Amino acid sequence: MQTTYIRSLAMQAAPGATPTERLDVLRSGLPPQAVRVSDHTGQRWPYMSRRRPDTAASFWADMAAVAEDALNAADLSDHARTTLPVLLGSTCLDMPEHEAALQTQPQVPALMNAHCGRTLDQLATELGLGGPQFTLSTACSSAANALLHARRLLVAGQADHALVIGTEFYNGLTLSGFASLLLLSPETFRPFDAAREGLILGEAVGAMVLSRQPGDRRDLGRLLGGATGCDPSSPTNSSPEFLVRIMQQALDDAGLTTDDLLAIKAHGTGTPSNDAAEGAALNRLFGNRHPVTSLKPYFGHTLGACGLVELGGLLEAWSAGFLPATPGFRTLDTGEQITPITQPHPLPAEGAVLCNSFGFGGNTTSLVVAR
Amino acid sequence: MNALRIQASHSKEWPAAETATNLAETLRELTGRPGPRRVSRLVRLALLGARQCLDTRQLPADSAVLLTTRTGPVADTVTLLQQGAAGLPLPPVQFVNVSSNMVSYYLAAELGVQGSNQVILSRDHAWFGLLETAQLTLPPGTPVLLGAVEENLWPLAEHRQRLGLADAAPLGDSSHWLLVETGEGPGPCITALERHPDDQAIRSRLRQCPPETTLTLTASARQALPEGPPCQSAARSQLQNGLPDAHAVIHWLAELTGPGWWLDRSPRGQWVVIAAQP
Repeated sequence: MQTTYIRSLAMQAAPGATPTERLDVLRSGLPPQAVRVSDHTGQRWPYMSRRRPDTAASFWADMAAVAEDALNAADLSDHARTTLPVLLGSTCLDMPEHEAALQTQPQVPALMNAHCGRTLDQLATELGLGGPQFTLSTACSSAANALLHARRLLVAGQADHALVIGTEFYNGLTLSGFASLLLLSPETFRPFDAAREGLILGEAVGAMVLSRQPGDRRDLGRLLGGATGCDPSSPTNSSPEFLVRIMQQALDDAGLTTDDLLAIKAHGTGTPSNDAAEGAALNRLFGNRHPVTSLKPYFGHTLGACGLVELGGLLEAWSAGFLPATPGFRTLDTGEQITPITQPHPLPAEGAVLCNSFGFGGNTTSLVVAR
Repeated sequence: MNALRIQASHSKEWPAAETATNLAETLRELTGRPGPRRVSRLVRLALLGARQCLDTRQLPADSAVLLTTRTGPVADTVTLLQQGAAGLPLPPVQFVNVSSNMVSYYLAAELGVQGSNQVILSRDHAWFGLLETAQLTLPPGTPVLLGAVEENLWPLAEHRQRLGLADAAPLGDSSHWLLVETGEGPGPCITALERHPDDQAIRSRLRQCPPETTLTLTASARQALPEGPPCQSAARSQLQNGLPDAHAVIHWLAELTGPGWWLDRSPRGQWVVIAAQP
């Protein structure tokens, strides 16, 4: 079993743009203040963002700045930068720009210059990155799959380093789409709680540099393994049996057993179907023996980016010695089988944590990280 | 090196008529069923192509599905953007369908497979990226169904404008499929996949090419190597709105009679080489 090292992390998300800001929020156990945004019909919803998310103006700049920060923190040579593979996990891609164009240039066709590879290509060009590009679009597991894909490229010896980016930026189509699916909460985000009302969306961009070898300074963490598969039973819901299988495969890939884990970062969307399936699966595999948390109330559900930004938040909190509590959880719902932690939980300096990311289209991914 | 042993392939392009053809009917004629309800044209194209690639084969449950596309479910996305701009609520099913991975989901559901299911998109060398993913990230012995699908959108003039194409540029639907199994074994296979950063690197690599190897170059590759060695031309797609490398590579593999290299160059000057043997 080969280890992949998480050399660096940079992020802009609702809890903050610096590790200190994010740690303060994660330690507090309280989600940041949500902003309010309107869907296409004028209905207002809470939304997790560091800014007023109603323009596409800083979309490219934010993405480039975060990627550049991660590259700089990894201290790569010029040659490494020009050849490293770049992977993007995202569901929105360049949708904010298309929506802005529709407003300012209604006479031209919608989705001008459409190309699913354009976002990453433009970013890589701006940053002078000449290596292979892979955009992974598997709904809410996109960034987790990008991390797993990068790990496998490194293990195969294809490169010494890889840059992985997870992005989700505000756009009306996504907000209105989730509203139409009746998945949005009007006020609170309370995964696994009996009084949950749904999820709150969020925007974030995060970037990590993964390496085959440890860095000179202490790495943020290690990606030990993972697994991914497609649950063909439903396009929008997961089955506990399939989640158990993927989590077990991830542990096998990492060379660990359930007893080796310190904790679990759940996907934890606060929607009845996900909470029920994930809770049942976690209970079946781990039997409520490990602390479980959901970080989505801090970040919002950042969809394609969540697998990377929540992993980043987890590793930052772990480096400070704790697993963040799940905000909003008070009472276990009837039939739910997992109780998330309600206070920050001390984490030993060394060990392993399982991280789940599930998406529409049956996409189910689990990663095992260690410090 | 994880070889990719070629089990089956299918490649089909449908040049666009002035109005959209009914793919549900085509699917029914082919499979006896119209396929899933309320899905995008892209899903139906994928089901059509994959079914013809597999013919009567049943895939093991741990088979992987890798998919690429240039514009994804462009029709549903444009419709939803326009509805949103008009202040209308979005139909939930259509919203779920704008995620490209719904195509690979419906494929997995239709074929009963549960392995790695990825939609991997690239500006350049998208099909090569799928082959590379199969080669580098999946264990030996894994059956992998690779697909490149593209749906057309009407009216044609508007879609040409959207894609920045000339007025008479041919458009259409396309569905290209390759079934491979990772690992060593008998039969036709892709033996190596290589990336080279520039023209100098590819010239150096070509000097090491075994003498019995037939070279096949895309138009952009030929243009960059005017002094280049004797070679064949890659098959050209009839359409300008798809992923031409998928079309070209599948046709090249089908026509191989001896060891061959297929070369392509991106607009930015990066090269890929696929080595294969029949």
